[in-house]
Amino acid sequence: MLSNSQMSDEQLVEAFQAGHLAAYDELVSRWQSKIRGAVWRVLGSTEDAADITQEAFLRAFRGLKAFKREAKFSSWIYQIALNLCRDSLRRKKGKSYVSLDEPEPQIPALVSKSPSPLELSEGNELADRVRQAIQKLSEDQREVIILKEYEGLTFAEIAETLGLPTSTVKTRLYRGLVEMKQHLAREGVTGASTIHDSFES
Amino acid sequence: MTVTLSCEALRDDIVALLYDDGDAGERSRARDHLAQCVPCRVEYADLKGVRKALGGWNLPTAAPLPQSRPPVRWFQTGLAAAAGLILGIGLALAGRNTLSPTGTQSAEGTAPRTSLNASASQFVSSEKLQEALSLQESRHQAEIADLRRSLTLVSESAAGSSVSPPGTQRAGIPLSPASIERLLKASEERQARMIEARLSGLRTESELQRQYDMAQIAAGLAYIDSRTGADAARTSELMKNLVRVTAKPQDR
Repeated sequence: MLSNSQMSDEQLVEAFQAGHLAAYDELVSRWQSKIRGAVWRVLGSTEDAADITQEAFLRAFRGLKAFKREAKFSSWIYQIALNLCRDSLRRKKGKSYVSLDEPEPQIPALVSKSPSPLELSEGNELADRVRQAIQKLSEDQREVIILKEYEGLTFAEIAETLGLPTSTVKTRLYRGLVEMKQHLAREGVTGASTIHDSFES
Repeated sequence: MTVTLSCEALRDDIVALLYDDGDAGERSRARDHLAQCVPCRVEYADLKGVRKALGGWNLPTAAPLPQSRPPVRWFQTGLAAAAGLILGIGLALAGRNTLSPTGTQSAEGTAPRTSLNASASQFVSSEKLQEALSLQESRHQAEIADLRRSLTLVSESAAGSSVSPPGTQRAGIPLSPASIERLLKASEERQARMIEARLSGLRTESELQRQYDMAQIAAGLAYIDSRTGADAARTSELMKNLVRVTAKPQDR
């Protein structure tokens, strides 16, 4: 018999629905950090990301018994988390204010391997500009770009997660990237590619 | 450099090529188009640049995201323990019930219990317990039906040959009314124990559900409390700032 860690998501969902509640622990440990990362990128807040991730997994736990296995668990949990993000952003829009004391939160050190202080400084600056540019996108475009660029989902998976046709996913991606290019250009970040780059590379 | 209608129509294909995802035909169409369309080639290179810049935004490590404990582990452990307890009670009662009055046990009665015992060390759900109980009940029903059939045969044969005196045996079954009475009584007792075991299981299950609902409500209230507290703190901070900026310079 397979252990929980050897099971696919679908097998774990099946086991949970058959009464093996421990299967849910494996699903949580498998997807928790990815979901938290996506939520963090959508919201731009570490504290909110932890809250929303926890809430998403609680909701998934409540709904998993009735979950129809036609969709992938990953798509479903991303969907729950993104819905919570949208609710959170909507609430914040209603009562947004600017703190006079707190500076704009800075992105701390990056994950990449031991950068030099100069690289760290440049990396922080770039990361901050990218973060700001992404926050300027519409919610629709931001979600698609985050799911594709950072979560590595395929067009089909994004379509399933957001309940959209794949053509709409690609259109949103394209428009989002074009807008990002404009925002980054205003921030003084220029693309590394040039006309001389081979499109086949 | 103008973007033609055909360029617009090929944007999805260009996105497919940019991410190396989707249909191979789309990517091939995009390659063919880029080979002969300079504006699209420029845009494609720009979008690759944007993707490169996006790669510079990594998750922070210096301020790690809080590692929240999986929210349901405590509940799962408690439920698993409770389910194990129910199973234990069920098995104990089932073990008593499946013994025949003579102390022997049918071969077909052994298999399900053995499999249940083997799985008892693992997590067993209340559904499995119910399944085991219903299996046992159907076995008892079969035993009762066999007994009734045997009694019918005996009474028919007794009616056919008046020479058979009471107390004689036929096919290994005692024919005295006292024995029949005893067997029926034992069967009724078994049924009563079965029903009691099932009721007990249902009571425990209902209690567990009640506790789970209470915990859910408590968690929800705690969450609302924490949010309300945070909101109040932010409002207070905002008010302080407001007072500070609206105060006259000499008051500051």
